[in-house]
Amino acid sequence: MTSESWLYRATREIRFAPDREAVRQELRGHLADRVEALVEQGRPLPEAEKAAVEAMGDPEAVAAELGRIHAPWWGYLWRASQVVLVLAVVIAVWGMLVQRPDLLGSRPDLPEGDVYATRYGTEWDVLEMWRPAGTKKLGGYWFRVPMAWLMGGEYASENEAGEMVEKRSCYLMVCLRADTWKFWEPCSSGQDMVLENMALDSEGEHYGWDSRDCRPLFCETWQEPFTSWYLVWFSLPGPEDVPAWVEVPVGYGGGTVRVDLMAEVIS
Amino acid sequence: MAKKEMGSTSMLVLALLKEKEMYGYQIIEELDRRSEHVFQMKEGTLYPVLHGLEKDRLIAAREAETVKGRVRRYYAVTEKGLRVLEEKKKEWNTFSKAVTAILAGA
Repeated sequence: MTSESWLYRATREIRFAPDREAVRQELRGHLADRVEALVEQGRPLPEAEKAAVEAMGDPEAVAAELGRIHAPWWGYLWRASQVVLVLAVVIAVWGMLVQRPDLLGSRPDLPEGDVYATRYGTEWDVLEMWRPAGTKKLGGYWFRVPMAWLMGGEYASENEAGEMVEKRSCYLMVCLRADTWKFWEPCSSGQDMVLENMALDSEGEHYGWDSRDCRPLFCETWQEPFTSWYLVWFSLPGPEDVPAWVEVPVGYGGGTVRVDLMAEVIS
Repeated sequence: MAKKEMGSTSMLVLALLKEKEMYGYQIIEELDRRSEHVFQMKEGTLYPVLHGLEKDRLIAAREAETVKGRVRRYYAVTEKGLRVLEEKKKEWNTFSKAVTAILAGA
């Protein structure tokens, strides 16, 4: 073993680099003194070096002791504080996202004025708008209804006689958002829940995908890492048929979100 | 400071340093010489002892440059170290008296 490799092995367990270097210097000096003494006694240099290293003893034993003594509590404290800082930032960001996931999610196009243009380019008149308050927690997801609105429109359609006539249409739109911190499990089942079940309203009407024995209902969905968006379309015969509340099935043990349009609150 | 077990090497180092300040290599040589080769320790193992004593503030270190430009770390005993040394000497004397007494009877 050379003196440098002895020095390396003997100081390896000193964690804090400046301390390690200082101890290495001291031990290097010791070895140099020993080599000098042996050379003065008449030993050739390579032999003197070898003997000096041997005289130092087992480097692992020394390393263990030195490591124990030079345990740098403040070096660890510094490193620990860095870890704590990183963790704190991660937790702060995550905590914020859990509370305010609206900062992350980009909302779908919601009407700002009297007109609502769908992504297919159809334009509808916004007849009424609600912003229900409240949050409903279901199965690790926070449900909110940022907006609900009533829209009416006319579109051209063929009647049975094959003539193009204007048909009036009315929809109650409910925009739902489901936020979760479980970014690996976005609330994708929501759309299935809505479409596989029936929605209900205060007048006892049912709404569903299969509209043979109920009013038609459609559901669109957008997924984002922490947020799932739903746009539920309730087909109404006319604007006067707006119910006091609607109940949307969202899953998670038969959970529903009731949107109270009169009180403008969800539950 | 909590009372800790002190190895006999530590006590000997304190005793040597009471006379004058020394650096590591010097301490090894003195221990060897004065004990008439009875105390020939593995030289590397002195340093954990020295650094431990320094950490416990029983000795203090300073650095000085030799004529050849080499930096040496000199250790000197502190007030606290002197007190601890006296304590350990008393303990040792009690111990060796007891051993001698038993052996004398054997």
